[in-house]
Amino acid sequence: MSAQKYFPLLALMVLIAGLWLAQHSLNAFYLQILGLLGINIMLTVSLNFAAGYGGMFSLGHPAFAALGGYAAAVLTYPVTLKPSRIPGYPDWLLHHTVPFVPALLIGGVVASIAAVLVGWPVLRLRGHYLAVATLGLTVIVQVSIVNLVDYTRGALGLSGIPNHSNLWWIFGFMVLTIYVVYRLVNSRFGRALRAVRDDYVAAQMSGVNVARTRLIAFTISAFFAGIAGGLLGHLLRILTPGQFSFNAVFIGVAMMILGGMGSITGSVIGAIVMTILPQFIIPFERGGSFFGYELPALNGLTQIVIALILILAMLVRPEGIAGSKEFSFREMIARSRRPMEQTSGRPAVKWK
Amino acid sequence: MRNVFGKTALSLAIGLTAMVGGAFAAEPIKLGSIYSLTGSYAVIEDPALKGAKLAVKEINAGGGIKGRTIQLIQYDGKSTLADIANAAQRLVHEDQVIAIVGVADSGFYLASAPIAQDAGIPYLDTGGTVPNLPEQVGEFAHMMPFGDDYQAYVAAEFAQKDLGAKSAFILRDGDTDYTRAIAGFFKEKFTKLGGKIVDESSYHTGDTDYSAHVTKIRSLNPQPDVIYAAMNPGDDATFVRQAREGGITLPIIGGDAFDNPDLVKNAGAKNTKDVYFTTHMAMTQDGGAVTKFINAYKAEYGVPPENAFAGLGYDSVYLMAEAMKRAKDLTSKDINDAIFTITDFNGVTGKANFSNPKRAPDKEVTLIAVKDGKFELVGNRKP
Amino acid sequence: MSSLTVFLQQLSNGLVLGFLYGLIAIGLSMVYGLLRMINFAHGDVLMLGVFVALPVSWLGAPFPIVLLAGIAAATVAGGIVQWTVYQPLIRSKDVTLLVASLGVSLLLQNVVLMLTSPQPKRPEPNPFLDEPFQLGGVYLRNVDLMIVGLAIVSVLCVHFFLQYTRPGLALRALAQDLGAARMMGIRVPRMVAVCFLLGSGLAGVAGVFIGYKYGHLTPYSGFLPGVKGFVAAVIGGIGSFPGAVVGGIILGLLEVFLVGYLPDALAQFRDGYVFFVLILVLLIRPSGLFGKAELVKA
Repeated sequence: MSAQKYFPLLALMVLIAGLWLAQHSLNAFYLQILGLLGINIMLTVSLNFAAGYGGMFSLGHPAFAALGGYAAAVLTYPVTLKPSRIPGYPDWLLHHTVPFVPALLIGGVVASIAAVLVGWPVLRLRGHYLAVATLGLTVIVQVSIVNLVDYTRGALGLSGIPNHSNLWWIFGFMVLTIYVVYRLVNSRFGRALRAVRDDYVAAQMSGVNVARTRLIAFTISAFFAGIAGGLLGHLLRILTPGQFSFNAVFIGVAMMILGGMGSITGSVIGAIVMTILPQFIIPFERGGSFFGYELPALNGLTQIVIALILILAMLVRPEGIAGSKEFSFREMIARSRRPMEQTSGRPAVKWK
Repeated sequence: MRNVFGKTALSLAIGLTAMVGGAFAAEPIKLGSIYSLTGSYAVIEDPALKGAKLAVKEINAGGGIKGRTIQLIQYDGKSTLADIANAAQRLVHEDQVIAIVGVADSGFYLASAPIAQDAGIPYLDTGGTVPNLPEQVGEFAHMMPFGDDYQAYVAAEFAQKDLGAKSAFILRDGDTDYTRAIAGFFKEKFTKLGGKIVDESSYHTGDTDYSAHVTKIRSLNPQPDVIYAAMNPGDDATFVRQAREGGITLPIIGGDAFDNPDLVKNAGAKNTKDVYFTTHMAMTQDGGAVTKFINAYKAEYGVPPENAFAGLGYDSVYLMAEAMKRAKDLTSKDINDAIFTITDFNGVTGKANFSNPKRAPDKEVTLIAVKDGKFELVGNRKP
Repeated sequence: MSSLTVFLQQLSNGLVLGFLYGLIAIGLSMVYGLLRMINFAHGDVLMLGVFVALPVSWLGAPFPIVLLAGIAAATVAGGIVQWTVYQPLIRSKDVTLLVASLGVSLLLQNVVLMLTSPQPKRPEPNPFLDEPFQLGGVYLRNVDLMIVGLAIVSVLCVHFFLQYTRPGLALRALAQDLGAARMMGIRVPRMVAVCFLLGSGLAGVAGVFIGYKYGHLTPYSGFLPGVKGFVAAVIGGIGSFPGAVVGGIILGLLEVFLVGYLPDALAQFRDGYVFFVLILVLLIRPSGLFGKAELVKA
């Protein structure tokens, strides 16, 4: 159908129009939320590429975001501040700054290098063992950032990062991430990747280089995580090791699973829910009078709601909101034309 | 006809009443606050918020400021950087507050202050103690407590002059900037005064087992004269107990984290012999304003102030209130200018002068010794 | 202090810590062996148990009662959690269970926080437990001896249970081959429940002792021991019951000796080293020390 073919272009135009409208009519608070949303989508989609499509359940994603973020920040950091705040670097680095986009890309490359170094030995581990090993990576990176004070400013955090991020860059890179992942997934590489995920023995016997396929997917995933980290640093103007701890791991995994592993649409939805929903709950945490009722202060209400949503989602719809299905114009139109029939005889909901 | 006329007259009447009534019903002054009530910083920021709320209550009970009440709009920072930055954005752009108090961590402050600075809203840091914190942000950034350097320098001088210590061992939480900073400043001053740091040891935030460090100290030959414990609130009592029960009788000097009523309770009274610390306020019961504060806090919340941050939160609001009183008009700019005119602020956390163009207050450090399970004031000093 | 004494002291420190980790690791290891599930909520169940034990101690109850209260609370909490959340998900993917456990962990932490406060708490000081115990130049307290003693007793009890009782036999069969065991008539849901209750009970023991030894309890006090318990379980061999204990001891010794013998500039990276060791173990001997050589690599 021709509508299907033009859908991405249409979506892109809607996005651009939406961003333009947002920039000119929303206040800085909403813009920051949108910025965080874009970054979260990038992080979730890239994680899903390795975990959902590649079957590599990695808990090390925050580590790559941290590496990429700090690398980009150190490069764009103002020369007047560098020698006093992060004196550990060689002189040529201390006296130069790099423009924003190259710095981001270099950050992505740094993360990729780390992914290759770590992935090569570790990716052969299965399932939970990989999860624990990558969790170890997150801890190691975090501990290193805290203690290598001359390079990262340690636990205080690297503040004073120039404010280069804006919605255009963030959503620009987000679209790039989605596009790259989408094209890869629907290519020969993507098929090989899914074959490795589903049955690596069979894949190997079909001629797929399992180790290499995994490593490539893992590295690409890390690359975009690194860029996301850089965008984050330049949005909040600060990076701290505390941002990349167990909490970050949990949120990342939650966004991916809630939306649906193995579905780009799912990742987007998961990120949207986890980024936007808390903002509605936050005003209620303070307590006070709402609609005539006096509510006590409910500290941690947002966390409790998120936890309940997550538990409920696992109980009721473990495959996530989107499951493994992608958004499809055709499917939507088809479904609206046949309200009563089942679509092509398959059960509407899969339970396993 | 009559209906329409009646309705119009009624609405006109209501409208007029509302306008007239509105002119008399004063709009509250919106003061924003960002304190983390969940996550690892809740231990210190929850009491800070309680102190702040108590101050707001007292001020409003006394008639408010220029006839208007203060409305505290608080957001939970959740000990998470993104949430703190969001909270700052909300306060500035959604709730449109005219001033902000908040956070007890320098990193958190640095994440949220640029937002207030860009909007020209004065933002008072309640507990972050990096010495040049406001300088890193801009002219609308201020800080309530003294810097880490003040606190640690006083401790080093005390160790040398009062305790006669020539050598020291430093134990610090390696994961937080605050503890690394006071440890670093102590080392700097102690060695400058001619002392020697025998050894150092770091632990991770969340550790409760100090046995390895205690053994390390005991194994030193010769033994240091004093131990400097750069710790976060809650860890202090645990360490003191383990140290004493592990056989260490050396004097222990701590930072303001030691300033909490549970120190003696949790460490055990006999274990707190020879324990000293520097802090923002003396929670001894024989000062005038401090006693009043402690009693008011107890009356409001049922427990005495949990740590010095309760006092810092309390003073933060009072400082802002004082600035609001002195401001020509209740605008952010006037309030900010007014802060610099406050030279003799008398808070529960001590006397302070806020006229420093670098916006770090000139404040005394309170030195406390624990004797017979009670806090005893050694003195108020400046380095 | 002579260097031998220092070594013995650090050894004791590490052993006590290690037995605590071991108690926590047993529950995690057994659950993983059965369900292939990393239970991130294990540590928080521990926290819940000791939080219930706290008021019991404040009311002046003797230590055994406090301990029983903690064990009971943890067991009940673990039972409820597995009945409401994990049981229905028995046949789901591993990932689903893992995420569900993350949700439970977050929920428990924040509910307890909301009901109490962030300030650290401790149980009513117990003079007997606090009594120092000196052996040569080595300083310990009675509570340390109790930890080691009770841990050994618990381990023996569990061993006895697994080897000589029918439910124990069923559990071992299930761990070996879930499908075959089911075909032999073993009621899987019931056994899973038993497994969780057992693990949670042991965690409760650890929790109460953590409360008495360190005197520093917040709603967040359970999570880190839980994660470390899992690290210990992996080192010792996940799914293996003696492995969990040995893994715990190794982890405890590792943590203490790294701090005790490295200069501070290196020792401050302690948690980094621990996880690095973990990764090495996974790469070199993934089934851990005692684990079955199961399919770890893929």
